[in-house]
Amino acid sequence: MLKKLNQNNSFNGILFAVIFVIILSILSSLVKPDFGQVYNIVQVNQKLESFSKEKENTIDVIFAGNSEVYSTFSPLQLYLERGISSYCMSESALRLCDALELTKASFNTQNPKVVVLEADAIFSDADPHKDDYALPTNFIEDLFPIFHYHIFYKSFITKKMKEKNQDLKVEHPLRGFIKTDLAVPYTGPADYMNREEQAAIGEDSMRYLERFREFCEEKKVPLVLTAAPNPNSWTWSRHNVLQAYADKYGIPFVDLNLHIEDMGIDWNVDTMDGGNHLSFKGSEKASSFMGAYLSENYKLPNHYGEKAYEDWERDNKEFEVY
Amino acid sequence: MTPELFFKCIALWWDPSYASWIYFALFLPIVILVYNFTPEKERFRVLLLASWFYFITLSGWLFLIHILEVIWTWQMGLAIQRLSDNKELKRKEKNKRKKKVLAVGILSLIAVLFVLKYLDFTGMNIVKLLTVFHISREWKMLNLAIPLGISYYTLEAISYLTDVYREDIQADPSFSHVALYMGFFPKIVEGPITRYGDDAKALFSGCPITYENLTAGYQRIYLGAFKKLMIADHLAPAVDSVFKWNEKAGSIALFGAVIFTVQEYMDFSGAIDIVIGSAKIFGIDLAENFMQPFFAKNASDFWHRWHITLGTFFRDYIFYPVSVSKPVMKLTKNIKNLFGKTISHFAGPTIAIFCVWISNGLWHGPKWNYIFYGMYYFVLIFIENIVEKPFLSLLEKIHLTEESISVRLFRFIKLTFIVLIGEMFFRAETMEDGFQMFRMIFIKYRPHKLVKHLGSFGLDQFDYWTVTISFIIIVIYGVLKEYKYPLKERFAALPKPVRWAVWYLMIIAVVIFGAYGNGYDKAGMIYAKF
Repeated sequence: MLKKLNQNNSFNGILFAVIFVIILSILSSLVKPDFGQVYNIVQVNQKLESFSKEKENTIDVIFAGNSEVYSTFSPLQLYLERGISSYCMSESALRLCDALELTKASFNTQNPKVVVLEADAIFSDADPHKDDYALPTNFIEDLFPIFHYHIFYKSFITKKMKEKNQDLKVEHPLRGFIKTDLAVPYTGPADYMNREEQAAIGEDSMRYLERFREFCEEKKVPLVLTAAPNPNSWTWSRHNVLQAYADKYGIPFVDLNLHIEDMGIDWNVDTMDGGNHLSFKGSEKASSFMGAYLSENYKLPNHYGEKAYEDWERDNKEFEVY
Repeated sequence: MTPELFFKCIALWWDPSYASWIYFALFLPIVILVYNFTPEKERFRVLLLASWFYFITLSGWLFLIHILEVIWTWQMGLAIQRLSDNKELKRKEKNKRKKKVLAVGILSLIAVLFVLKYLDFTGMNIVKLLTVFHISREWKMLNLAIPLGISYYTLEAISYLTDVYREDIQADPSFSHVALYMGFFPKIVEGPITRYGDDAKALFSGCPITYENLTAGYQRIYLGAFKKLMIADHLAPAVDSVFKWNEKAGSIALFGAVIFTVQEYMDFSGAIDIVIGSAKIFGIDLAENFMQPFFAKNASDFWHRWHITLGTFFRDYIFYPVSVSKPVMKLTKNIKNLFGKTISHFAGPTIAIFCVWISNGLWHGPKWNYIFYGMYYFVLIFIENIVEKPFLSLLEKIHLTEESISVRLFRFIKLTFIVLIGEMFFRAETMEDGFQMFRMIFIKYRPHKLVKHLGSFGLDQFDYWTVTISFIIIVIYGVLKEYKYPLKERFAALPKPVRWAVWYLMIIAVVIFGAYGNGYDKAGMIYAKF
């Protein structure tokens, strides 16, 4: 092919490339997860490891989504108030594709009765590929998943490292909820939903939302859509778009932004970062509201005081949550 | 598909920054193949078309500005050449006219650079200055788009015209040749700033692709990708986080200076490795830009080893001309009459060095930090020039030589500190931040703050380990290179399976531990913005 490359050199070059492709293929098969394609393999693995500590068939409600979930819904509070057993299958900036795989995986050891999907992930990037339009890169990543999952090694955190990381340490006892003492007031207008926006559910988000819905239908488990209070990003436009989708399929949609007064949210103390996430105080109000909704609308057993849930109370005392 | 979406697709589809796989595993191989299938005499046209394609995909319509500057340089070069060849003109008249054409040629190129890069900065500072005189004016920011690599190819054009003027080279009658010299795709983004006389022969000869050049080129590209993906891009979020300067502690300021210096060196020298490796494949040996700068004995020597081609450009086209210019010679003479021979010896070079360092600072961009950075080195090198002789005398008195370990260690520590402080001001968001960071190192060091925040700079334990181990590898490589250890020859003598195994390990290490793709934000090339 190349004029000055003699046969021997060409053979060497081709052999080198072929061996390299074989190595890439072997590595790819080793790191590719057993479940479907995900965006952040490290977050997914860490969450699955944490979730695997739950006793089998003890979780009735799965909260799926990104950081809006773990800052809004507290499983320990739901348990203490109403005996509802739940888990936050959420991570920071978790994409919808990862939330779907986590939800699916939760059914391997648990028998959830309700899946609650928070809306922020629906209006964010949802695809396993970093950039949906970077076609050649995505093609190579699909061909050799080692390029897509090359950070797989970050899942191998030693016990010592986990103990040092406060979030990882308390993730399991708090059932995925993250407690924070931060409180930075939201100072914008109270009618934040009137902000102008032409919201739409993106192509990828719609694809994964459909998969969420189909999966829940297949498992015969009700899917509930919810939107955590968020004056910085939530608008009527988003509400209407999601409401239309919910109406189309008869899915309940609990938009907490419409119940700010009912919950008694005070934006001076109930947000940890100026409106993006609820503070611990805010989460108490939102969790109470969601607990009441779930109790009223679904036949969820009250597990409070049951032997299988002794560790829930113990964890609450140990970590001085409530 | 909307036009907006179409361009988004193109932008993401086509990401030919040097450390992207699209560049070295797709774009470069295609160019190599086409180049090799083209007749020898026409190969430089393949390189030119590839360069223009590369330029257009990264800079869009700004390519037109580049082309206009190339046409200008080409024509002005020919105009100077015509005057040089004119035997009817008397020497004095000829030189006068040549000088005029050269001045027009260079000033026009500088004017374009000034308008695109410095006009907003100048306007804003004039407005600020006017407020001192209670004159209220407003500067409406133009925010003009800048063509790719304008700071690099403008200097190359200046050197081309000056060399034609000096009759060191003949002006090239071929537009394509001048265009390729000013726009050769590997060096268009970050240099090196090369000379027409050094590049021309190899650039236009259509040297065939050989196995040796191909492997040597890709090995050099690997070295660059290693530096960038394993060190520089890992450090990028931490550098950004530290220089936001939210946590005010001297320990964090010093940490920021250290990681930015490492990031900048690995990013820039890594990109240059990729550039030189790419050119090597086509049989073109571009000038080296780095030569183990941290082995330098002082600040002046450091700049002989760091961004070498910029330093030599300033030496040949600013330092020497300023030193022998009429006003400086006259001033030196006056100083000699007033203060004596010793002081007058310093005068000329000091003025020339000042011009070099103000140009160096300004070249980096329209920011006071960069001007300060240039002046910082001007002052340090000026002091060094004064104290060097007494320092050597002192060494002799205490029976030490420049090669003594204690002297070398002292110089290394001194130079490291000088470089770190310089880089801290260079990277600081504002001059105020720079001074505050500097002050904090001595007033409020607070080491516990650094320990506390180490985990919140956007790097996890794995990233720190990757950076540390990779850095040690590069340091060892640098030491072996400095002491001329025949590493390549020793490696080549190993059995083939061992060599291949080592290469596979090294490539896989970058594939797994490199900062790219999911989990990492794409880091740009630091020197591409200058």
